Amino acid sequence: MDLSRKIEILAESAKYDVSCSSSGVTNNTRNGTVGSTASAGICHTFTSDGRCVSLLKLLFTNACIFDCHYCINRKSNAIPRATFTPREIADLTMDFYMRNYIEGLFLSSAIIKNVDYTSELLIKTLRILRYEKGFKGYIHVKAIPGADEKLIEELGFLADRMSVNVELPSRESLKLLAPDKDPFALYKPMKQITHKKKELSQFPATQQNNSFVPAGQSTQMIIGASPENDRSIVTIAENLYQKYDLKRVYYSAYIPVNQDSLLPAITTDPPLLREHRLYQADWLMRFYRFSAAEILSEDKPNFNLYLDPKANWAVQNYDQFPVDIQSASYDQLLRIPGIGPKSALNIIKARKYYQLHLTDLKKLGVVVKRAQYFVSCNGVCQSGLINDPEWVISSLISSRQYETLKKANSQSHHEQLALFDVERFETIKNKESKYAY
Amino acid sequence: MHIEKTTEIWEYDGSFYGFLTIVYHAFTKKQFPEIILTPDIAVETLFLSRWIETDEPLAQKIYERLTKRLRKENTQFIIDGFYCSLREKERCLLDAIQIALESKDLLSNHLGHPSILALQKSLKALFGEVHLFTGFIRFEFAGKLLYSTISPKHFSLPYLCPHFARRYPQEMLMIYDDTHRLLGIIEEGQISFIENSDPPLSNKADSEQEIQANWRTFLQAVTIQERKNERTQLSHLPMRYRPHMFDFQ
Ligand code: SF4
Repeated sequence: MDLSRKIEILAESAKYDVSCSSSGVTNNTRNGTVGSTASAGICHTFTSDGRCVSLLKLLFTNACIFDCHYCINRKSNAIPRATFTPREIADLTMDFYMRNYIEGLFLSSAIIKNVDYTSELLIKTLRILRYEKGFKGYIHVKAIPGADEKLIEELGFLADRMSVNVELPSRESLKLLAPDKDPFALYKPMKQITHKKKELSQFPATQQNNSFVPAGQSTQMIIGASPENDRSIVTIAENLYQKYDLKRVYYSAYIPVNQDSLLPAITTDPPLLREHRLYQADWLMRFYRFSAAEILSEDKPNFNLYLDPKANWAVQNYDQFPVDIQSASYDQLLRIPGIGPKSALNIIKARKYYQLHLTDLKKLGVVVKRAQYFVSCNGVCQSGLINDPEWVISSLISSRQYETLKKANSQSHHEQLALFDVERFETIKNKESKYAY
Repeated sequence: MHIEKTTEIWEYDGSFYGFLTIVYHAFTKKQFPEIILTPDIAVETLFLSRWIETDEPLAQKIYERLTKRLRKENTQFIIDGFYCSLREKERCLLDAIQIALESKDLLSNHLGHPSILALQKSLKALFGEVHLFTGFIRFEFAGKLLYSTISPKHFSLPYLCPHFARRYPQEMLMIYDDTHRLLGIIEEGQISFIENSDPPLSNKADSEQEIQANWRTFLQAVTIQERKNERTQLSHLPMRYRPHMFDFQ
């Protein structure tokens, strides 16, 4: 099979993998003659679906011996199969890197023969790149769960980032949809990488210590192929951040590729809006000091798809507002919709010298249109602030936004468990011109 | 220091040393002209102007004096500002130098001044373009040399070269900016420039075609049809970058 056909098949099979960030490595600890790892994400092009391409993302092979239900490459699918050689991938990476098409390589693989054999092929590829070609650029590799610890460790010294995909947010779903995978084996390499990194960090920094997975590890979950609610997904993500010190958790809206009685019908649209909300919630945990339990409660375990998670939290905790701009702590400020880490800092700096008015907030970077319902300045709240969360919600979403979201929403009404009564909301929206704001 | 604003019009050759010569005259006379022209703009206007001849030794002295008296960040701001594509940047820069001399503060804290604001905005555009080019530049092998052509709006090339010098520490590279007719040469990490240059002749290897085709095959294969969104693509990757990218050929 010629190379171009292999690229077609094996890039196609890898495309649903979302984790493509190449940032995170600032210092070069690797010896080599070509390349450097840039700290800020560099996009080398954008595909016509609007996604940034920064890495050569490939599957080593798609000839899988496993039969995961959600996967296009499952054994029982009749699709064209291909396998690269380690040298082919190494050459292709160098060819593309030299011409500035890519920032590095993202290599993943289906299971060929067995997990160890597959890992060895990945190692061979990376060795050619690092030792023979002197390649210093970024490499992200998928660890193969179940592979021998020695192999995982060697991969870790060759790559910049490793990821182990948990794939599905619960053990039950895994058992059902990925019958060949051992749910316990999934977390093992993650743990091993965390331990190894910790262990190495205790010694004085040497060349070797710094080059073990220097950009950390990440993982990915498929959303919408199994029945877990948003709360359980966010909770798992929180655990992963805390326990394994993960750099990123990626969420990938399930795009039906297989006709399967255990999975959503092939005609179902991917739950993109839900994926978007999960990323926003993830952001709240990483940069806004929210805990998973705060973002979604047990009795309302799913996102309000029409409202971002922070506004959603604020509306549900309306009793904690309005927050006084002059005296609120940094953490409190961060929780006000329309205020981000930067504007919160600006407020703290500015209020030392001035008594802040609502009109000052805009200059400090606050989105006043959102924040006005949740703040008080000099003891004064936005006039007409009504203690009616639904009214606030309808003020936070413009009619146009609402229409766009409604179109983007591919989930049914009962799935989204709306925070508000959709019918009542629609009537408010239709009458909204009555309110002056 | 009181500086008188006059209605004079000055003209110079547009070089950095030329500009420093202007700085010398403006500050010794304590007079800022109302308009400063370069030959490109001068032909469009009918005003009579006074020609300021570039004096290199004098310019060098001014440069040393500025670096001594100004904060490092402010000197950098002024140098970067000179390379912006802002109309009448010279007038803004004179203001910037005056502010920098009088206060020890960072110039970027003086956004209230219209000249500083204009410069800052223009710098943002320049650096934004530089950042995009670090990803969007495409090289081809011509013999052993990596060659690329770009058509930047701003004076980006000098800011781009250090990035590629780090990226390819052992290669020989040439980047040609056809907007400003500037050729950047990077040889094993060393950067040099040739001004007013014609595009160098490049005879690219046949194997390049194949590699470019492989790249397009890859891009085709990773596109998710279900998520097609050309408007997003356009906003991230504006048309003006595309003519030199093999991705779209
Ligand atoms: S192991 Fe499962 S998910 Fe991975 S390629 Fe094979 S079938 Fe697909």
